Amino acid sequence: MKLRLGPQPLEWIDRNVSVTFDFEGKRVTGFEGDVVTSALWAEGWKVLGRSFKYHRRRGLMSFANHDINALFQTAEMPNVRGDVTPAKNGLSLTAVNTFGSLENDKGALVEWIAKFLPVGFYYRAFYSPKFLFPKWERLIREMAGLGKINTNWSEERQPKRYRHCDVAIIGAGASGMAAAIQAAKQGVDVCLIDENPFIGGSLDYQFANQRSQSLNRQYLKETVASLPNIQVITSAYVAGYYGDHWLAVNTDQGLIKLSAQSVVVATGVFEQPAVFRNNDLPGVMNASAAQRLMARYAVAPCNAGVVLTANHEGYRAALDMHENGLIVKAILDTGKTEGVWVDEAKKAGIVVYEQVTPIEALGSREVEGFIFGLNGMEHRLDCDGILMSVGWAPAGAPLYQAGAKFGYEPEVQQLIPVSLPDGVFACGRVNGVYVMEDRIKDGEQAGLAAALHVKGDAIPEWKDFRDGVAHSHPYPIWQHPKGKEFVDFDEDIQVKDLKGAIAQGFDNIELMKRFSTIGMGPSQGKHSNMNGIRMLAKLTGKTIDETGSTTARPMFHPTPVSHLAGMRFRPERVTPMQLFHEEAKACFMEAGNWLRPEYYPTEATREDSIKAEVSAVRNAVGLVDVSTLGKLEIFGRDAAELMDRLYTMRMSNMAIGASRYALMVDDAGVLIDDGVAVRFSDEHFYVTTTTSTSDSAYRMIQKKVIEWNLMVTVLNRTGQIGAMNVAGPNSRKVLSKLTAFGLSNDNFPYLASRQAKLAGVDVTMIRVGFVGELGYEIHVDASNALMVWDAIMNAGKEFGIKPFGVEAQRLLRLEKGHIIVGQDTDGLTNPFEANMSWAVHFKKPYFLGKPSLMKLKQMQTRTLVGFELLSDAEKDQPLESNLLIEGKEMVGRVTSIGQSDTLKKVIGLAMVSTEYSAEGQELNIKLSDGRLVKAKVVKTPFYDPEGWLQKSNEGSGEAA
Amino acid sequence: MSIQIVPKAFPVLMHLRGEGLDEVLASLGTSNLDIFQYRFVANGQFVAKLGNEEIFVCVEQPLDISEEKKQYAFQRGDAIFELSGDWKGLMAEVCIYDFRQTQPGDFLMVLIAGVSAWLLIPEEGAPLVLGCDPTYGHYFYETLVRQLEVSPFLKMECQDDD
Repeated sequence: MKLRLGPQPLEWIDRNVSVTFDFEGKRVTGFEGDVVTSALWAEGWKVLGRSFKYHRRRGLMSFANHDINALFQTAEMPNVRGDVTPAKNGLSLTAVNTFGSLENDKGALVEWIAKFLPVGFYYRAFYSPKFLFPKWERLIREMAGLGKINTNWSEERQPKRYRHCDVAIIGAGASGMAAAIQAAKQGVDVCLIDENPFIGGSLDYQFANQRSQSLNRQYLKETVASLPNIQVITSAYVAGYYGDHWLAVNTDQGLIKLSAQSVVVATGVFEQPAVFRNNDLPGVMNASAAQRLMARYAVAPCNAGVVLTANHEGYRAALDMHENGLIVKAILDTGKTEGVWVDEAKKAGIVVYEQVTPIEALGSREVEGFIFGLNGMEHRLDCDGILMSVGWAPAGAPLYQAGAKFGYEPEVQQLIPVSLPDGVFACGRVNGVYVMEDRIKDGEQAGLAAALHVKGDAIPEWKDFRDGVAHSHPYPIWQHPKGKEFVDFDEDIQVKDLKGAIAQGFDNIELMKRFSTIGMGPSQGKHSNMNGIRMLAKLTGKTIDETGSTTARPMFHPTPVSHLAGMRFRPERVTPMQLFHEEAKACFMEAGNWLRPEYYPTEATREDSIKAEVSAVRNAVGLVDVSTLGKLEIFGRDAAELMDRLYTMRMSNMAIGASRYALMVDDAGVLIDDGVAVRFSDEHFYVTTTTSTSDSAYRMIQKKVIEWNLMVTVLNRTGQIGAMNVAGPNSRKVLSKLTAFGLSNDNFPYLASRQAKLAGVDVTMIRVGFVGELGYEIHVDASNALMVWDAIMNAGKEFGIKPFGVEAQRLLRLEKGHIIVGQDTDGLTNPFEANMSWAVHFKKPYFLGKPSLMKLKQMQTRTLVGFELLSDAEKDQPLESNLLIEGKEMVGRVTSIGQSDTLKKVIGLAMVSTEYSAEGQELNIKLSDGRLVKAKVVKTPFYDPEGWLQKSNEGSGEAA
Repeated sequence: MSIQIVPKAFPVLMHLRGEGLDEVLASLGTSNLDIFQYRFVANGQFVAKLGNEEIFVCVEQPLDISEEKKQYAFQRGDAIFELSGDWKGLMAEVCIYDFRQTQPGDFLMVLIAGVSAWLLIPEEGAPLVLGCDPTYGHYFYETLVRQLEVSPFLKMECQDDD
C-alpha cells in the first residue's frame, strides 16, 4: 500500500479487515472503512477518471462527496461516487466517460481539436446544414454524458418514511453538535443530520492532530451521545429544504421526510480550488481533501508536496503532512498569513514563501512539479502533490432553498447569510465563523435560538462571532498565456471559456451559467460557482453582491430516483362480494379505486361471456354487484330542505318508503352526479351516487350543509353497505324464496323502497333498475352482503341466474337508453342536453345550479341522441369518442356504443349539434382509421320503450 | 423491537349520531369521556367520543337507541387490526402524522397509506388498535405487511392469524 500512513488518531478504517475489489480489471486491496477513492489512492492510483470534455486525466480533487474526477461504473450503477462509496469485496469498477480504457482513452483526441470547440460551440455549430443534424446529434449523444445506464432496469421503489422533531440540525461538525446540545438542553426533540458515517465534521480532519481540540471533541461527542432527546442520523444528507421546515433527508435506506419546527444549518463550507494552469493534474487537490484523506483513511496525499495557500488552514494542512512524515517542499503563501499555525509551521522548519504567484503545475500524467512566481522570478519545485488552500464557499443550499439572502462580506471574503427566514438559523463556517471556539459558541446560540423559537420564547440578541480575518482569497484565479486553467472540473470550463462567454454578452450570472454550463455538472458548482462569480464580477466591474449567485435547487447531491419515487400507495377497494368474484374467476377492471368484475368468463371468449350475461338478464335473471355506488345517509331536522337544494327534482314531497331519481348539477348547471334517493322517514333520506363521485359528492354536500347552515348530518356509508341488483323477469321469483315480505306490485310497486328481512337479515330493497327489467336493488350491511349474495345465487339456480359484470350492465343500460354520468356527459353537459329536462323542477324556489339552468334552457345547442349503425357492424363498428362529421365540420361524438344481440343491431348514444338530432337524421361517424360510416338517429329507449318490463306491467310513476 | 399486525374481529361496531347520547355513554360507564378520547370498557371493547352528538362504540350487544329520540345508529364493519411492537416505526412509513402529539387514550383519525383510518392510541408498550373502511381492509392489511417485509428501515416480523 504505497501511500498508506500509520495509524491516525481518528481514522475510520479497520486495519484488521481487508477488502478487495477490481478497478479497470486490476485488483485493489484496502481496509474496511475505506471508500473507493481512498483505497485506490493508497494503492497509488492517481488517475481516477477522465474529464468530461477533453478526457484529461484526473485524480482526487475535493474528496467531499462531489468529486467529479472520481466517478465509477459498475454493471448495475453508473456514476458511483468514489469519495463516499465504501470499498467492498467483490466490487468491480471501471472509470466513466472513457473510450477504451482509463489509461488508453481514445476520447483524449478531443483535446487536440480543443481550439475548435470553444465554450458554447454546440449552440452555433450544428444547426446548418439541417440534414447533417441527425449525424451530429448521434455523435454528441455518444460523446456526452458520464456513466452508462443499464436500460434493462426493473422498477425500484425505496420506502420513504416520515420523521418529526422540534429542531433539525444539518451538519454535525463542531457548531452543529454545539447547537444540538444547546437545543436539547432546552427540552426539545433534536435531529442531528450529517452526511458522513460519523459525526465530528472538520473537527475530526482539520483538527485531527490538534491536541488542544481533543477536549472540545470529547465534550461535544459525549454530550451528544448522552442526551436522549438528540437523534443522530448519519450517512444522510439533506437533499432539499421545503416549506414549513420540511427536509428531504436522503439515506442509504431511502428518503426521510423530516418535519421540524425550526432548523439550524451548520453545513460548513466547500473548499474552492485555485485556478492556475494545469490545476487539474492528478495530485493537485484541495488541502481539506488531503486532510480528509490522511485523518479518516490514513492515506497520504503525496510523498512530497507543496501547499499553495491564502489562509492559515493551508498551514494546518502542511503541518498534518509534516506530522505524518511526509515532505512539505514549501508552503507557497499568496499573501502574508499570520496565526498560530503559521508560527507552528515555521517552527517545524517548513519553508514558507510569501507573496507568491502560482503559475503552472507540471507533469504529463500526474503532478511532477510546480512553477510559481516570487519577486518577479519564476521558481520551480519538484513535487508529486499540490495542496490548494485558497478559500471557501458556504454550503448554503438549505439556506438558499429556505429563502435566506446571502451577502458578500469583504472582511472574510465570503458570502454569508444576511437574512434568514423565520425559524431558520445558521452557524459555524457557513455563517462566516472560523475560529473553533467561536464556531462552538455560534452553534450554541443557534441551537438555543432554534429551541426558543419552538417554544415561542424571545430569542436573545444575536452575537457576531466572525473573526474578521479573510479565509478566502479575493480572486484565486491566475490566467496563463497557454490556458488550461480550469474553473469547473465537471464541464472542463477554463478561464478563457468564461471570458469568452462574458465577452459575447452572457454577462449575467444566470446567462453565463447556461451558456458556459459552469455549475451544471454533477457537482452543481460546489467547487466552481464561487470562482465563476468572482470572475464575472471582476470582468464586468461589479461587486460580488451586484453579480449575484445562481439558484441552489434541490437535490443537494444526486439522489436516486427510486428514493424520490418512494413506495407507491395506491389504495384499492374491493366490495364485500370480492370472495365470490374471485372464486368465479371474474375478470376485473378498475373503476376509480374500486376493483369490479368486468365479466365472468363462463364462455369461450370475452364477448360470448358478456352476451351470456346479457341474455340471462333479459330472459331469466341476473345479479350484479353495485356496492361501488356511493351511499349517503342524510338525516336531521333540515334533511328534506337539504335534499331539495341539492337535487334538481323536488325531494321534500317524497312519501316515506318512496324512491326517486336524483340528479345533481353544479353551480354552472353542469350535470355532475345521479343516483337514487330513498326516504326512510320525515327527517331521514338515503341517497346513492355514481361510483366515481361518492367522495366528491359527500365533500360537496358537507360543504353546502355548512354554507347553508342546515341542521343535517351527512354520513358517507359507501364502504359500510353492500349493494346488489337482482334483475330479470325471474327476479321476483328468486327473492320470494328468501323473504316473507310481499313483493307483489301492490305491496312493493315500482320505485318503492322497503326495509325487510331477506335471507334472515335486515335489508333495504329499492324497486329500481338500470337495465330495463324487473329489478330490485338490495342494500345491506357490508358484513352480511356476501351471505345475501350467495343466498340469492343459490335461490336463483333453478331460475337460470347468472352474475353479470360491468360490461353486460353497460350494454343493458344502453339498450334502455340510460346515460352514464361522465361517459355520456362531459364537463359541460347540462340536463337539457342529456334529454333530462323532466328531472329539472324549476318550480322549486331554489336548488343548486337553478339560476344557471334557467339560462341554459334557452341556449341549448347540442343533444344526446340514440342512433343505430347502418353499415356492416362486424367490420365497421365505431368506438366511443369517434367523431360525427358533416362536410368538414365536427358535429358531435359517440359517447356509448355496443352490439345489441337483443336488438340485433349496433346501437349507441351520441352528443350531436341540435340541428342533427331529429329522429331519422343520418349521421357520419368517422372511424379511427378515417373512414366514414353511416348511422341514423333513432328514438330511445331502444329496448322496451314503454317500460313495461321493469314496471312489471303496472302503471308508471313512483309509489310508496 | 419487532412489529406484528393481526386482524381483529369485533362483534358490534356502531356509529351513533344524535341527541342524548350522554345517557348511552353513562350506561357504558364512560360519562366523563372527552371528545376524541376513547376508553376500553371490557374485553377489548371500547367507546370513543367523536363529538357532542357522536360516539363510536365497539360492544357486545347493539345499543338501545331510537330515531324518535333523534338518535341514529349505523352498524359498521370496519377492518380492524392490532399492531404490536414498534408500531410508530411502521406508521412513520405510511402516515405523515406526528405521533409525538398523541397521548394514550386519544382517538385519532388520520390517513394511512392513502386510506382514512382511526387509531386508539395505547399506553406505552401496549398494541395499537386501528381500523378503516372494510372495502379498503384487504389493501390496508397487505400494504402494511408489505411495508414490514420490504422496508429497510424496519425490523421485520409479521403474524397473520387468519
